Amino acid sequence: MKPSEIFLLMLSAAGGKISSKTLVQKRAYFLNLLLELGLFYKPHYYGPYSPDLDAAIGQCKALGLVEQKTIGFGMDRGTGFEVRRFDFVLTPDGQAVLDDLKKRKPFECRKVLEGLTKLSAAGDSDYVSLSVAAKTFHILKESKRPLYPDEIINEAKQLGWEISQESIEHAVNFLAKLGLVTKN
Amino acid sequence: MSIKGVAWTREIRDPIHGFIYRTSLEQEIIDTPLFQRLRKIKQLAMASLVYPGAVHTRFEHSLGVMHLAGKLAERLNLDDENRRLVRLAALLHDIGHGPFSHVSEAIVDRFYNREKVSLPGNNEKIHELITYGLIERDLSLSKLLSEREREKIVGLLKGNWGDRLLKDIVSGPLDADKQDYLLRDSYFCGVKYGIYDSDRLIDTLEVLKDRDEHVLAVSVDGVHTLEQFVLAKYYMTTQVYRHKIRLITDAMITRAIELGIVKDNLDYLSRLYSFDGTEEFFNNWLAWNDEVLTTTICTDSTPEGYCKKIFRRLAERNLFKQIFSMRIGDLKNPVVRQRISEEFDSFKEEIERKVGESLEIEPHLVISNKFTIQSVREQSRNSVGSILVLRNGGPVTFEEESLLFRSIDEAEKDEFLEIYAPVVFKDPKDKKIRRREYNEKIQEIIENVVNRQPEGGKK
Repeated sequence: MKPSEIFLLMLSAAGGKISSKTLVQKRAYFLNLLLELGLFYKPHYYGPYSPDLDAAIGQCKALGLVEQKTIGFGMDRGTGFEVRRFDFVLTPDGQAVLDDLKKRKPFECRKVLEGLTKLSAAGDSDYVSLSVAAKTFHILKESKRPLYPDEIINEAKQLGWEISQESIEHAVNFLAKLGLVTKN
Repeated sequence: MSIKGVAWTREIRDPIHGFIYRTSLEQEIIDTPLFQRLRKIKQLAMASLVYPGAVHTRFEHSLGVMHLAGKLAERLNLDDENRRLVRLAALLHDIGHGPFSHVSEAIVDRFYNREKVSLPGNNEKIHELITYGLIERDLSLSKLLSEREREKIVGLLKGNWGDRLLKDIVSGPLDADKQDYLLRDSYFCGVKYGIYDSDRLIDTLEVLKDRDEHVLAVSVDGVHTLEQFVLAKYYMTTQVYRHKIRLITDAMITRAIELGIVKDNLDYLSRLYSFDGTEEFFNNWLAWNDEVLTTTICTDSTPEGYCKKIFRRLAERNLFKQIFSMRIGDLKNPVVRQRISEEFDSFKEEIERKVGESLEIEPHLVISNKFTIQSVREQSRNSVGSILVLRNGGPVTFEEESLLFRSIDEAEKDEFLEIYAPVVFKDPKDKKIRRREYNEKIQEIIENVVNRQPEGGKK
């Protein structure tokens, strides 16, 4: 499946709207792990990031299939930056493309939608938790051996990522529900 | 220019950077037939048909990239050995270019021998394998550089040897390649779009530790210079690299060679573009450049055919005309819009055939071309992400740091579909009327072709 089709199906499964670009990236990251969709992911400074998916979001906007709304939350006093969130909304044209896609590729669409249901059941609604889970998974995968939560936190620090004990537990539970890790 | 411990030979005068200094080893590499061949490969193919001054070549560009890579290496305090390798990689980065530079890339990508060459991973392209292959095998180069050195240079260009910082210098959103070609192409085209403050940009470069590697970044003081650099790239794309006539000439060269291989059965073209990784291929590749290819095609020994006909038109500047141009986002039907955007290659031939039949033009001479102009924001990124700016010791993305780019973050990339054909317009009024007719007919053809093909262009 093409990244733009995956993005449109993600929007469809979420009822036509996803709040936050990070949530799109992280949800697609786990969907990619579950279904081996072939999305290229780079372990970026801010955690795993897919340039292909980012380009697909831009493409869907340019084609009028998705509308982007920017929500401002005022200035962050620490950094001096305005805190913003990008919301993506499926347009009627986007819905028409999705309907056509479901007719042309019923099997692939069903597979992606089932994967998204599995993610949702594991608790994927919060982008911060998903982000921690993605980083945790990356560390566990790279270590090639079982790790204790403290070890994961230390390893994350080495990589410049701050992860708390509580969020690790939440992340490991999420990963275990998806069958990506086992808890001993 | 003085770098401690480096023995320079004589300087070369360059219109962009002033004096370019080189070591005796670099001079010997420049003197090889392999490198001298770049003097006959124009940087911008036939852009001189629009911008008469654009006759500069890959030769001087490669010298410029080496010079800038050296300046970047010095600024970032690379050790002597890494500095030497980065300069050599920059000098050799375009060594595999074929006739008409980037135009040859698309043709090699289409005609390479799929039985002998497997598609490389990590976003590598087939034509890049020619560069790597030449660096590894060329006899003149192997007399000057050891096998290990050549392996390191290829690894550095691929990004799988050395620190990421080295790769960032030769290939990345701030690389020496872009820093040179923007200024050089601007100068030779006689436009001012590609100009930015090169010295200031280099002066504000910093090294950022990203996990277990080092990344090229910019200090917060360099943000405005960086804005200028990114805008220069955007303007050069819209005004020069995607200029209407330039797109037509590139498309004509590509189509001429494709038809020369497929329809005219010109054996020398098949051999030139069927990359198979053999010694024979590399030796033959080096014998060709812009001039040799044009002369060979137009000579009496090449039989009359599509290829010769198109190249004669190019030589006489009797160019195809743009008969259709549309932003893909403006196509009425959203499904057609999305599928043309995603699956254009599978519809291309059918669209050209139908347009040819409808307008009574030889279908092989109808060329459809889909291209993208990335948003100005996207120009600051590459495939691995954004340029990072160091602010209070920590990294933020350039788009977040730049007030200018933050305010235009809604901008999106634009995709266009154009069709070129050998038509003649009597006068501007005739052009206007016929373009309107073509526009309606072609939109209908596109819609029909897409709707008739349920999946991936296969009926």
